Amino acid sequence: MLHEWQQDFARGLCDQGTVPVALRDNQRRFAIYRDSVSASLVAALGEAFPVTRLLVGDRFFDAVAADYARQEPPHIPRLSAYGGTYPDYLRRLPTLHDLPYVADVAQLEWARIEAYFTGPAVQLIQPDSLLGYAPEILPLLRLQPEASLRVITGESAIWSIWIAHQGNSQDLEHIDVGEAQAVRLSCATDGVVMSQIALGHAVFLLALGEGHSIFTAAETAMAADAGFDLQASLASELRLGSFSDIAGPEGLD
Amino acid sequence: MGTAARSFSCAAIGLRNPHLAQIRECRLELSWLEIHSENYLLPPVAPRFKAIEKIRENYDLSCHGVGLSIGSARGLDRDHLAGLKALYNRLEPGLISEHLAWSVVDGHYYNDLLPLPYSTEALKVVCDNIDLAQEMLGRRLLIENPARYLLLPDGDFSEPAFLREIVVRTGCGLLFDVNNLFVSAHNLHLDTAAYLWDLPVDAIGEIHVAGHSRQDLVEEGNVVETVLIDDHGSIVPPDVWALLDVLLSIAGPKPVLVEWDNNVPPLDVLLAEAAKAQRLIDACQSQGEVSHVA
Repeated sequence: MLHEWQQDFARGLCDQGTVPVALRDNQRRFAIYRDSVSASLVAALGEAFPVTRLLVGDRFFDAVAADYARQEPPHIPRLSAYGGTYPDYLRRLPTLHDLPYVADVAQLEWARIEAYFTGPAVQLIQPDSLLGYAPEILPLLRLQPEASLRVITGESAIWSIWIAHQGNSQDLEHIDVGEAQAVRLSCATDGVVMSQIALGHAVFLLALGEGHSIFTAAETAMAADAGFDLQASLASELRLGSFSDIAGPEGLD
Repeated sequence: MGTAARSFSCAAIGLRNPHLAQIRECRLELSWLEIHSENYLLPPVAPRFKAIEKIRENYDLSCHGVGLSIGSARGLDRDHLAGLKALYNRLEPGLISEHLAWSVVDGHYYNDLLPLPYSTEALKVVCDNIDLAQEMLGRRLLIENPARYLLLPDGDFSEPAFLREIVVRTGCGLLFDVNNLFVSAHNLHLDTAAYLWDLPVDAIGEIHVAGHSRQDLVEEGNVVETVLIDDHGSIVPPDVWALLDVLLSIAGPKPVLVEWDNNVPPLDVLLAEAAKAQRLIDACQSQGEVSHVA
């Protein structure tokens, strides 16, 4: 009975028009709980997506976040893990169809949260780890990106927009929002490190993350970006400590 | 608990994210701090977890859970409980607590402390859940009285009677929130003196004080009533300090925590609130000594 009562109560929290039968005499008081649940989830989303909120404005953001919270309440009692599907929710919103950069930036903000809560890698391969391999084997190796590494590519200027909202200036005049940009994120000991990377470099990292060999990943990157420089990209990622493991080509291990 | 409990004899503050770096770098005149457990359910390598481990070297901790949903009729989330267990084993807090409330049903988490009817059925649910939590965690839980806005039908017990039953049946302690009593008393027209008379004060292991706000409830453009909202967003008002003073005079000195979660002020404002609480604890302690001598 208590379970059904709690289900009834929860339905009332998500649906403005529903109040549990036993509490119909006291709808005003019931609304305190409904408003409190909504406000706390909206606040959590606002904290998770601060630049997205600046982009669309507080009122619009809060209204959309409240709808999202009613439709997709959290599944686990950890608010830091809440909002993973919010960027896609924004992407599906008809009112934002003409502003795809909003969902792109939200995706970037979520990647930042994921990287932060994953924490820095415990085990990394050393920059010189590839030296021991014969040159003909090297392209066949597969590199496992460390767990906090994230690569976000957008059809819009996600990096320029994000960085422009980090200070007080918010100088957006010179940004070409339609310029496709890619961002690399990883967690260091004191927080998340972010940088803009070339599109080819991003495709290369994503392909490695999918388990492709260095050779295949480089081919994919070159197809996406003729300017891709394998040596420079690989050297910079090894220096940054981006990989947790090396696997040889199957049959050669 | 004996040794750990001795370091919890004074006032403290809740550790909030805006103050994390500052508190990590300085040594406050406090012996303990309270954290929200759910904020630290992280891999131990995460920067925030590293920060709390560093802070833990200098302070005892009270870990305050906000998501276990002790009142859920279908039992507890075992994964969440396992996460809490790992956290507590790592941080070794002197006190751990949860709320007399529910927030989870059918796999959805509503991020609020929702009210329970104080029925015989709810009593069994709560006691079963507390038994399981205490067994899995291997620690004694303190259970906090909620701030209430609704008088629910189907109650077989008053709140203090309900709290007494769970203390007797499960061996748990109480985290008594004075602000919640003040807010509930206003909203539900409770008599605080009668409430405190019924409360099993010996079971209190920690006390909370906080600020609240007033909200006018409007119907057809007219204010029909004013309710108090437990929003932890301002200084502790005089009425709540007065109620704390009454509780301390009945229960004796206890660790008192100042909660401030929204519109978090600069650290020195929070510390000034803790100093006020400390003065009340000290006054209660010296009165106790006088009466003991007499």
